[in-house]
Amino acid sequence: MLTLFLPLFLVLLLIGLPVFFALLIAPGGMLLLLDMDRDIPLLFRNIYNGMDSFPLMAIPFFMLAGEVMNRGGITLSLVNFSQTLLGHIRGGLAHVNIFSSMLFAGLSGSAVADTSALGSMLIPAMEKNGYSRRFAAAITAASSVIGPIIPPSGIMIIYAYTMEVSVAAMFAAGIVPGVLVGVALMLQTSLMAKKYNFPVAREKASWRERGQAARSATLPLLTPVIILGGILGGVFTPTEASAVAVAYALVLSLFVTRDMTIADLPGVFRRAAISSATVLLLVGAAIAFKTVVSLSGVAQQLADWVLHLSDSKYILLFLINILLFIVGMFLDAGPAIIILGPILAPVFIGLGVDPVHFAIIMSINLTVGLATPPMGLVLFVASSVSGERIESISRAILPFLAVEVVVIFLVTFFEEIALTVPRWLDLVR
Amino acid sequence: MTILCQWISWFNQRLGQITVPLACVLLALMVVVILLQVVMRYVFNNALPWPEEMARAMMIWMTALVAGPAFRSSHFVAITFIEDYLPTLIHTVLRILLAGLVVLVLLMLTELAVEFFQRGFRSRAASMNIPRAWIYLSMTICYGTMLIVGVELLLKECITLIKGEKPSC
Repeated sequence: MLTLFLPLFLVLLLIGLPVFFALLIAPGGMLLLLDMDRDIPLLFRNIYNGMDSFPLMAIPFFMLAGEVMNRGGITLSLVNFSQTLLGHIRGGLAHVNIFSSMLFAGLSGSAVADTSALGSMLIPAMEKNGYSRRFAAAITAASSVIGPIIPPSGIMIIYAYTMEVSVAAMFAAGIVPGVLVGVALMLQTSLMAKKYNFPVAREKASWRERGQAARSATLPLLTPVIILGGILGGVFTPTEASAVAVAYALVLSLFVTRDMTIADLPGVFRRAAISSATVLLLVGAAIAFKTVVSLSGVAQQLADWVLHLSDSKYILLFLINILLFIVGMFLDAGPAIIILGPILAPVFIGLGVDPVHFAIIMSINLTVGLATPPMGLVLFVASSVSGERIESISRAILPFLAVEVVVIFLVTFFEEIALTVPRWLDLVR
Repeated sequence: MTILCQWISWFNQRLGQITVPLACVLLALMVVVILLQVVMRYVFNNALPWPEEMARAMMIWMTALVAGPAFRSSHFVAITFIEDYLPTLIHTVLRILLAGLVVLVLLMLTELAVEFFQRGFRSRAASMNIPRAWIYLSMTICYGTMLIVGVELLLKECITLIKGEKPSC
């Protein structure tokens, strides 16, 4: 009977209840109905325990670092740099959008931050250059999912926290798949650029100009080096690295680019506090939800069901990717990982899939889910930044989602794509 | 009802003007405390016992302080596409039911949070010499402020149903 909380959860989500409340009401309501009231305080307690975590603190810090960099003109220097490299080819600004996302991904761990930072700058610029607004919004949303794939990554921090996988190994494993998503999107853009005759953005930049743009992008681009170098070299924990990233971003923005003043700080902190609080509350609620998943025995049922589908690890991986993609359409990546990670990961690790490889498959799949309707956080942000309707962005994004799905399968079936870097660093066997 | 709604709306707005800046200060202090931990460990070779626990407590408080304002400014994501397919009346009634459900749940959560706070006096934080209750109090503030926001949103939906248009409060 208790397992009925799953369909109840879906119904509540679909009729428009905020995810946070749906995560609590569905299991809580079933517990009350079945006279299991004494488990309610456990549910409550686990919301708190879920949020009270040192590893999770990297999320507010990375969000803050991202806000600071954006306000401090760092996003602009990355876009300028991309523009001097790629602006002259057909579909220049679309390529610039994707390449900037790849660079920004090394500084920020959030697709939402990427969409709002690059979208507010590039969507109007692309429109002026002759692209349709919905295409500009779609390419921004599609490329922003690179943000949490190339480290740092809020989603990977949540996975590592839930499943006790090494954050360092996951970060290392995300680099190549993230670049691959970027390259795949650029290939797709090139094909579309020929077919639809996309405009070029500017004449070819001289090497001198490129050198200048590269110089002003150098200091911001040292951020991933500091973060990753620090974490992978064992100098500091991911949370400490994220605090260092905040300090570095503040120094750059206040004293080097000087695009930010002390007066900008309250707004920057306010946005970071609000966006990280909503993520933390969701994590807490998802941990509470997970309690009831284990109480109800649905975890075991689901695991058994998965194993009954096939004996082949590859067929199961294929099917699970489809399941995750569907889940990603309806649920935010964080809660989806917290709820499904503990159910699915042991099944696949038992079948011989490397824990870090599975972690990457799940993270990438659910990250792409951020850009799929009806529940696509990145689509919501792209819509509010551009003023274009979610429905029309959803249609325009389809060709890009298709190549992202191809990348998901490549990463799934060729584990070397994800695992070569962490193996090379001795983080994975 | 409109006057009550206006009053609660004013109250929530004022409350946000106090709690959000406080949360920002906590976020800044979290960064400072963690940087201090790094500096002490590497420069002075002296790992402090308290920064981690203190930063965690500040993070919980930060989350609690902005929860209400975040809820009020629609930062809690929900799927809205079904609304487009429903007639306005049914859609409004559905929103009232959902808002009522949310208020009910927040009422329960606030009640549990008060008990949680009271129990917190029985244990002390490991590295800071205070009862855990002072950290747990954050949950009462979190759900309490969200509850008041929930009531405001419920009233707004009710006024929308009665007057047929979105209220000004």
